[in-house]
Amino acid sequence: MFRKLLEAFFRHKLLVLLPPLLIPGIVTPIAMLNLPPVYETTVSVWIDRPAYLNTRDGSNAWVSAVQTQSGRLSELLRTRAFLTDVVQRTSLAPLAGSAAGQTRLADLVARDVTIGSAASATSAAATSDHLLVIRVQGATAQISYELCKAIVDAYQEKTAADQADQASVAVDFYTSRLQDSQQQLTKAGQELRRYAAIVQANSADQAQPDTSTGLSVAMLDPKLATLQSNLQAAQLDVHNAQAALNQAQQDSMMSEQGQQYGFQVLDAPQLATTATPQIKKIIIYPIAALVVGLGLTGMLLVLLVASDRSVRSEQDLAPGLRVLGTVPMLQLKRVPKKLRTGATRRAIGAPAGMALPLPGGAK
Amino acid sequence: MSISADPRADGAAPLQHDVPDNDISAGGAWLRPNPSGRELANLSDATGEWVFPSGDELFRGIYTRAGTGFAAEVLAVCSALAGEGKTTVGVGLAVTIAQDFPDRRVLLVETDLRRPVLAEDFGIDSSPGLLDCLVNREPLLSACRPTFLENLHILPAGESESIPGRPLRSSHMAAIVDTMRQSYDVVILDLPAILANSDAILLTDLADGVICVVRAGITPMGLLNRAVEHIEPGKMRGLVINGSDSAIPGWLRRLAGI
Repeated sequence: MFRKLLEAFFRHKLLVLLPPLLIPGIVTPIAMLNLPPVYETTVSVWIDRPAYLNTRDGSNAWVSAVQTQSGRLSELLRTRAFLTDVVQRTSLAPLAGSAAGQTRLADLVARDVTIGSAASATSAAATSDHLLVIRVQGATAQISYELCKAIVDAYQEKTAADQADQASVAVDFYTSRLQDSQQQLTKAGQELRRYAAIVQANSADQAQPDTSTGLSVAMLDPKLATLQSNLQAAQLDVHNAQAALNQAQQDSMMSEQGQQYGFQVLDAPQLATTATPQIKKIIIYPIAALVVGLGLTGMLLVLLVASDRSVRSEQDLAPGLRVLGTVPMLQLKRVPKKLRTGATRRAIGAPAGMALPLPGGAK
Repeated sequence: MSISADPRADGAAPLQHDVPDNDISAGGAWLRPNPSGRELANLSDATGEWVFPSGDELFRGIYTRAGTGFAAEVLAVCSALAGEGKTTVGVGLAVTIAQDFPDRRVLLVETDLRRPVLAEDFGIDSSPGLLDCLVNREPLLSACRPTFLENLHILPAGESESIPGRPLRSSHMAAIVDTMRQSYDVVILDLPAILANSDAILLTDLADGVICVVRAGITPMGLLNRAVEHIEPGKMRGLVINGSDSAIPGWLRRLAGI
C-alpha cells in the first residue's frame, strides 16, 4: 500500500501538490485583503494583596494576586449581568437590549478581550506577579477604548460593591449580636436586683444583716451566686460583641480605603491612533489553508490509488497468472514526441534491420 | 500454391527484397543500422540514447520461462487491448531467438491486418503480405522477407484498401500456419487484441503456446482477466508486463527498500 501511495504521488505529483500550493496561494491574499483593521487598547493594573489587613480572604498562597484577579475578571466577563454592566457604559449599549445582541457581545468579548499577566502579554517580562494587562481589540479605536475603560470601571465598582456588601452584612451581624448581649445583660441585672430585694426583705424581718458578712451570705446562697455569674457572663458577651463590631467596622473601612492600593490602574487606557497588525491571523490563514490542502492531497492520493485498477506490477495480478518478464519503459527524452510511437519496438528490432530515430530528431 | 519447406531452398525470391543500408528514410528522421552491427550496444554511439538495457537477456529470460527452446513451435503473442506492446514483445522474442539459435529458422508473422506496422518499421513494401497469401493465394515464401539476421524472416500483414470478409477465419489460414510450421522452426504470431478482434481467439487455437502482453499502468485488471479467459489454459505460457516504469526516484526506492 505504501509503495502504491508513493507511486501515485510521484506519478501525479503536479496534481497531488496542487491543493497545498493553490489553496494557500488563493486563501492568503484574500484573507489579508479582507482582514478588517483592528485597534487595540491596553490597560495595565497593579495588583497586590491587602497585606496591611489582618484578614483571611481564602486566597491560595501559591497563586499570585494577578492570577486570582485575572481569573475572577475572566469569569465575570462570561456572565450576562457583568457583560451588560460593561456594555451599558459604552456606545454598544443598544446591543445589550436583545438576546441576539448579547450573544454578539459575548462573542466579541470572548474574541477580542485578552486578560493576562504582563509575562503572558509581552515577552519582555520573564515573570509577573503583580502586573495585570487587559488588552481589548475593536473595529474602531473608540470602541476598543470604551470597552477597555468600561471593563476596568465595572470591575472596580463591582469589587468595591462586593466588599461594601460584605462589610455591611458583617456590621449588621455584630450589631445585632451586641443588642442581644445587651438585652441579656439587662435581664441578668434585673433578676439579680429583684432577688437581692427579696433576700433583703426576709433578712429585715429576722435580724439586721451584717454587711460585713454579705459576701459570705452570697457564697452560701447558690441562687444568688448563679445570678451573679449570669450577670458576669452577660457583661463578657457584651464586651466581646462590642469588640467584634468595632473590628468589623474597622475592617470594612480599611478594605474600602485599601482597595485602591490592591487594584491600581497604572497605565490608563488610551485611544489608539493606528491599527494593530494582526500577525497571528496573517500567519494562521496560510497555515490553515496549507493543512486543508494537505488533507485534500491525502484524500486525492487515496482516491487515485483506490481508482487505479490497472496492472503495474506482478503484485497487482490475480493469483495463478504467471509473469514471464517485465519490459522496462525506454526513456526517450531526446527523441521528438511524434517519433516516440514505436520507437522502443524499433530499438529492440534494430539488429534485424528496423530503422531508428535519429537523436534529437536530426534531419 | 507452391511453397518450399526451406525458404532458402526456394530460390532467391524471398531474399530479393532490398533492404537499404544506412538509409535515412521517410522524412529523414530515421536511421537504419549497419547490417554488421547486430548488437544494440553498437548503435548507442550513432543514436545517442538508443541503449536498451539488457534487452537481449530480458527476452532470453522470457522465452526460456515460456518454454520455447529447441522444439519447433508456433508461439502467439496477444494482448487484451490494442497498443499494449504485442509487436514489441514479438519482435524482441524473434530477434533474440534468432540470435541465440543461428541454426534455427524464425518467422515473425504480423496478423493484425487493421494496424500493420512491421513493413513501415523495416522500411519495406507492405505487399505482398499475409493478406495477399490469404486473399490472393500468394505463395507464402514469396511474402516472407529477410532481415539483417539471416535466420529471421518477417511476414508483414500486407495491404489492401478493403479487407474482404474475415480472411483470418478462413481455413486457408490454418493451412498457411501448417506451412509455416514446415518451413520454420519457430513461428511467432503477432495477434490482434483479443477483446478488440475476436479473430485473435481463433488464432490462439492454431498456436502451440500463447504469451499475453500487459501494458503497465494501462491495462485494467478486469479486461486482462476477461482476455485470459478466452485463451485455452493449457496454451497459456504467461504474461509479459510491458512499459514498466516506477515513478519513485531511485534514492527513495533504495531508502525505503521497495
